[in-house]
Amino acid sequence: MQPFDASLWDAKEIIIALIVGFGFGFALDKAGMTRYHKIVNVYRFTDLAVLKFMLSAMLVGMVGVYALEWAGEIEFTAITNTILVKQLGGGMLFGIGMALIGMCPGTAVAGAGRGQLDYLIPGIGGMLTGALIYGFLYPTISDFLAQFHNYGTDKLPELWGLSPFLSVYVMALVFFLVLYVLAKTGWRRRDRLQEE
Amino acid sequence: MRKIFHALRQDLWSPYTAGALLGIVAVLSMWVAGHPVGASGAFQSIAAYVGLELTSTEAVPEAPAPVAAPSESEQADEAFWGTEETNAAETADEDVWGEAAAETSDEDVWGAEAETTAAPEAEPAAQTAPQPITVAKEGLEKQFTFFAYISPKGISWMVWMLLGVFLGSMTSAILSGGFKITLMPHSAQWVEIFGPQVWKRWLIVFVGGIVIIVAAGISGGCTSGLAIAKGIQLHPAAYLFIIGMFITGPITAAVVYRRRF
Repeated sequence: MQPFDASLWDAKEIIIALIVGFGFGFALDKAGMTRYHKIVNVYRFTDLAVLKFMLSAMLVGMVGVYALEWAGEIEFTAITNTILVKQLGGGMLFGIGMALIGMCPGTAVAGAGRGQLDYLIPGIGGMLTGALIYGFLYPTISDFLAQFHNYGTDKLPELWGLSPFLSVYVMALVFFLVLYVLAKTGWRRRDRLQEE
Repeated sequence: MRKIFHALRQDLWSPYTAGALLGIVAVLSMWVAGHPVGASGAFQSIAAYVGLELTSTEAVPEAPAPVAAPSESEQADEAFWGTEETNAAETADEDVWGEAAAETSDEDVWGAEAETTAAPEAEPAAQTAPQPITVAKEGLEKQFTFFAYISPKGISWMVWMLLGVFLGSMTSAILSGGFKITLMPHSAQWVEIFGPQVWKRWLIVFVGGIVIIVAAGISGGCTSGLAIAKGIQLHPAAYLFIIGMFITGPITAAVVYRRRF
């Protein structure tokens, strides 16, 4: 069996990919996600821009994709197994790296676009190296994760036994309330760095 | 019109506005392109070029080739990295994926592949003279399977999208006057905490980059591909990931910043 190549795309798909990416990168830079302090300060709770940015994106995105799904325009066929250790553990490891260097895979590329060579060379380079290392660790990691309980592929509506509409409504309300409170109170921790 | 230009030239937007833009982009991505947004998968499909070289070797099969090359498969299916929804219906490469699924289904961790593909279906052996084929190196069969089928090499859709991310961010920075080629981050805070040494920043970023991608591999996506793209579809996995991020992130920041946390 020969290995497989994933690079057969036609011009139209490539142009759409570039446009989607362009909007994504533009939003990331305008939100400040291409800057070290913006990302790290959400973990110090001294600047909650990351949280506000992500929650707004998820609010709009959730309503949008569920509306389009309801209209029959898109289909949700993604199958994601919920495995507590896999996603929580992976997220915990991810948080360490993200708080240390102030970037994640998407913002590493966006940060490189601002001309920051530390994002371009060790950032993207380290991530490519990490991807290679992950491939070599893959059998060990998947064997390890296989011993934990798999909660199946249910999404929140099935899990809660609510209709998709009600689930989106509940989640949208929660996101909106959090965003509203954050915007109204402007709450954030005192930044000790700025006081020195 | 003038207002729009003014907005485009601003350094920072309110995070709510920028977030709404990202939300719209995430919806358009699924609607128009049929792919959810994501980033970490692109790193995997580029790294697979090297991974494949390191885990495979050429061999001339004796007599009929075991399985013919999947020459007619038109499109790669990046099922593992989260785009399985797009190609689920048109898995022309069922033979390829069938194998990969069979390899992994017993582990059930990567159940996604197993469920999107049909049972393995052996192709008739090639009728031509034996040609050298790429096979796994001994002891690295599972790694080879990963680089060859589960997260295959290629300039995938996500790689093109990331090129767009690079150009979009660059355009935004040029418009706001923030574009500048530097060896250090555009942030004074790093220097306040870690000092001005370039090697230190580069070394920590390199190590941190490895940690981040290995973590994304474990959880099945990153902030964009899992937290946002799966989160808007209400997959519980995305919310577990976000909780995980916010458990260790503050601890790490506290360790690094100590009394200045």
